[in-house]
Amino acid sequence: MTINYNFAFSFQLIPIITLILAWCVIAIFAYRMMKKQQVKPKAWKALVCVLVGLFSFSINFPSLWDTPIKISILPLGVWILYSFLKRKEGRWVTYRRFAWLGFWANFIFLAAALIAVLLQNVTYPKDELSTYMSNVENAKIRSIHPSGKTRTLDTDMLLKQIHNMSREKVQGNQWYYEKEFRDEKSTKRNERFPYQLFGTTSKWGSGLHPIIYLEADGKGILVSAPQKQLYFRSNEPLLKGEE
Amino acid sequence: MLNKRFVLIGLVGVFIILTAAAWFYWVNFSKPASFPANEQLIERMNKVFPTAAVKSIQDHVQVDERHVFVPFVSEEGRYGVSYWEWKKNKWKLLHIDNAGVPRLWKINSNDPSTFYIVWNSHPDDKVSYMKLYFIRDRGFQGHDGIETYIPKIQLEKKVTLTDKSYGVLPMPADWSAIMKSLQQAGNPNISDRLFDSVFPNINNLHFGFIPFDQSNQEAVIMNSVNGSSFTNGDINLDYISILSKSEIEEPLEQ
Repeated sequence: MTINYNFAFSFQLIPIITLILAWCVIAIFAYRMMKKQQVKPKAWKALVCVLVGLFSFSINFPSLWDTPIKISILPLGVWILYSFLKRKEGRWVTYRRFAWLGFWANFIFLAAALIAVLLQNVTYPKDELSTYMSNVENAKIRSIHPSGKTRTLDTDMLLKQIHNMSREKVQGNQWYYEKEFRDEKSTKRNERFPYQLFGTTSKWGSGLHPIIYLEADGKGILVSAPQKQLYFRSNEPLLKGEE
Repeated sequence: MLNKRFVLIGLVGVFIILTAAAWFYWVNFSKPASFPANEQLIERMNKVFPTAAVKSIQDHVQVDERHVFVPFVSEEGRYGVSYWEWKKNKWKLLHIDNAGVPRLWKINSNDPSTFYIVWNSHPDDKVSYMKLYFIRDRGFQGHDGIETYIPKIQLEKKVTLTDKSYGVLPMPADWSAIMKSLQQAGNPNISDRLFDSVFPNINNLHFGFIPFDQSNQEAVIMNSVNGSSFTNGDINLDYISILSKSEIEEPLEQ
């Protein structure tokens, strides 16, 4: 079955701030060029030149982070502007700098993106449970498998444990084939993570919507975010009711 | 002179926007008229799709304000289904099928809470109840020492067919909550969106059902399958696969 994905706005605070800052830097450069030049260009035309100048041929390098590094090589927008503006004497000279500013702006955006990644990793540490789970007060669990008994979440215990849980390795292969969870001869099988946690939110501004599963023994939490899974164990069970 | 022209262009623009808004409103929010009478429905269906040979209408099941599910019986005694929508100020026949094996009707495919499972089971198949399933297979991945694990989802909902051969089941709250969460989690970040416009369906969700007879044995359905159908409009219908008990997990005894 396919579900269509509606692109609900995912709010990431830091990239938005750095993007705004990048535009401010470009605006400052444009303003200073404007001041310096003797032949004053029209402001809206200069703006158009910057925007067209942005258009470039670029190469994407896969990076260590989630954001690929995009390096612009050929200033296509600048060439287009040149071929268009050269027809009238002096026009190219007036707007040349703005077209090139557009091209170099690609690198300002690149810098902004890299700064955003760095800040993102500091503000929202990827290996900490609290990044993925910050509002626990209204949390509840739903059973996703018949082996998930009717137990309830111990919210107070979860609040207590959230910063003390230890991170452990996700044993996908082992959990999949696990012997103690299955009866080899029949269809009888338990699920290791038979509960899904609802009602929590990720840290404000992180833009993350992880899926969080709870382990049958009540002591494990599996956080499933795009391209990343984390597994945490607590000493005390986070579920109430009989096991 | 110049001002006059601007005013004129402005007026024309406002007029166009208002007309578009009114049209949009009319198409999407106009209050539905009462649903047509059975004779009219039969006439419409037989005209659009003569193969159906509709003889009598069993019921009008109002799915929501603008959608109606109409089960029917044909001249040859088949039990069929039809899907209707209030669209552009009239009741439109979207799809008609002369067999009523369960299907998933996604009214708004972006919103799992608007999904419905509909059926019309032939009485000769002697189905006394069905178990409907929402499933995601268990999975794992591992590369470069980094492993991931996908827990199995298997949720069940039992519906009885003893009173009526047909039915409409809205998504149980748990099912739609899980689908919504998966949908949100799959939502790429703003920066990623620029790079991948094609988004894969990573969730591998599916629906299934098992029909049972009176003595709790899996029923063989012969008359509710292999229908002929006709699509007359914009509708999102998914197949629901027939499962057997051997594909369903049960918890281990303690």
